Amino acid sequence: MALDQLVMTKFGEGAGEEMILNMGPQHPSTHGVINFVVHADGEVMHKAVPQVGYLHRAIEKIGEMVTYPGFMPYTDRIDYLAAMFANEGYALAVEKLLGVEVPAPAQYLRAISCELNRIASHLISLGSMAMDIGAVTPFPYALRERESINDLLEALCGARLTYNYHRIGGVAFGMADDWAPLCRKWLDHFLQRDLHRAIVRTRGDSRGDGDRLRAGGPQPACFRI
Amino acid sequence: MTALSFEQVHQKLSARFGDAIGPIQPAKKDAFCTFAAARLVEICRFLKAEPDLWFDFLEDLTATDHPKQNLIKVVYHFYSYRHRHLFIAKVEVNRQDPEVDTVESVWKAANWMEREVFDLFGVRFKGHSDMRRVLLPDDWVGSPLRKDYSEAGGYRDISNVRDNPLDLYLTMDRQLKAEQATPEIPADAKLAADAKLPAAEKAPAKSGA
Repeated sequence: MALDQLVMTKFGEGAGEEMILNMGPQHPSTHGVINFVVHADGEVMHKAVPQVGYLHRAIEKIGEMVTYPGFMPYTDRIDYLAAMFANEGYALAVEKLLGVEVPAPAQYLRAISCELNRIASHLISLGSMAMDIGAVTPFPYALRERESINDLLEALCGARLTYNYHRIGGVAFGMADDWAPLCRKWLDHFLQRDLHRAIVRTRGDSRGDGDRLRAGGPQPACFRI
Repeated sequence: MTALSFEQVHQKLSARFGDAIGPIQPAKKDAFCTFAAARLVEICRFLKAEPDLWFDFLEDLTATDHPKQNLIKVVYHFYSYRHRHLFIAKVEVNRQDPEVDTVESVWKAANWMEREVFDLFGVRFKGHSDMRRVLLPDDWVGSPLRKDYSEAGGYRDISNVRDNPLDLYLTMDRQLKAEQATPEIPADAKLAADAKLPAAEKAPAKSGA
């Protein structure tokens, strides 16, 4: 028997014809944000038409309806793993329009809170990437370190995910007296752990094909920074 | 790799296209200039192909609505990865019948961004390969980001108004307090009292309980 007669999706009338399938938005890999209308012939996908409106929350329209300071919490939702940067970007834009200068202490706090958030976001990225290529161990380690950052940011602004911390012309709260020593203590601990190197090592060891990431995404030379 | 300033890029464009390039406008903060709608694609091709400019990245394509001037301004942000410089241009179109040429042939990224502008501002892009709404459903009415847009009061029997949840809570609270305030009447006595009342008065008493 020829191989194409054994393929399950080709049977009866119209064998070998194109099938149109809906993939998502409830498909596990699309987790609610996207739908593909897939044109498939057996296992071969000929065409996929994406529908992307599921995640559109009309944030730009909301922006027309609320006040300038009132829009700050909405910016948190743009990227919930790095909400501080959306805060910062929005605050910078409005400050530019107003011609407002941010006082130095607030600038320091902005930079510190953003950098902590950046580390937290990268930890998720590195951990989940390691998991995607088959190494499960780094992810909980990364999450554990991220928890500490969440604690620090919670002590700073009261929230662990959607911070709503930056304000137009400054920040919402100053830091408590014992916050800076706490942050330093965590940094010492974190730098000792050398987590990113551990993740990179695990990548090579777990599957023995470190090339999987190394060879991906060729770019023109001008893209490289 | 030499980054050009906004003025230098503007100078180059003016030398080549003359009147089609508007003057640099010191807007509130970021400088921009206008392009003549008729020569947009030509100018964009030049922006991308000229070695000194090399704007290989269409960073953003959006629009702003100006009802008083009867204009919609389509805004283009260009960026060059090779030279690390950027340029901002606007194309003004009539608000009643807005139509611009597509720059999809220059930057493929324009496809979805033009669809978004079409979706939310109602600007049509001439020559676009797939002019459908991208975020909203195909049968949506109106262009939501226009200043004079008013909500239609729902979509396909899905209402966009709801009762204030606080009102519901307060009603429940009041009911609970009223129930707690009335002393419990034995079931027999309640039946007897109900029997004496006329039918019209019985109904509200029942729904209250």
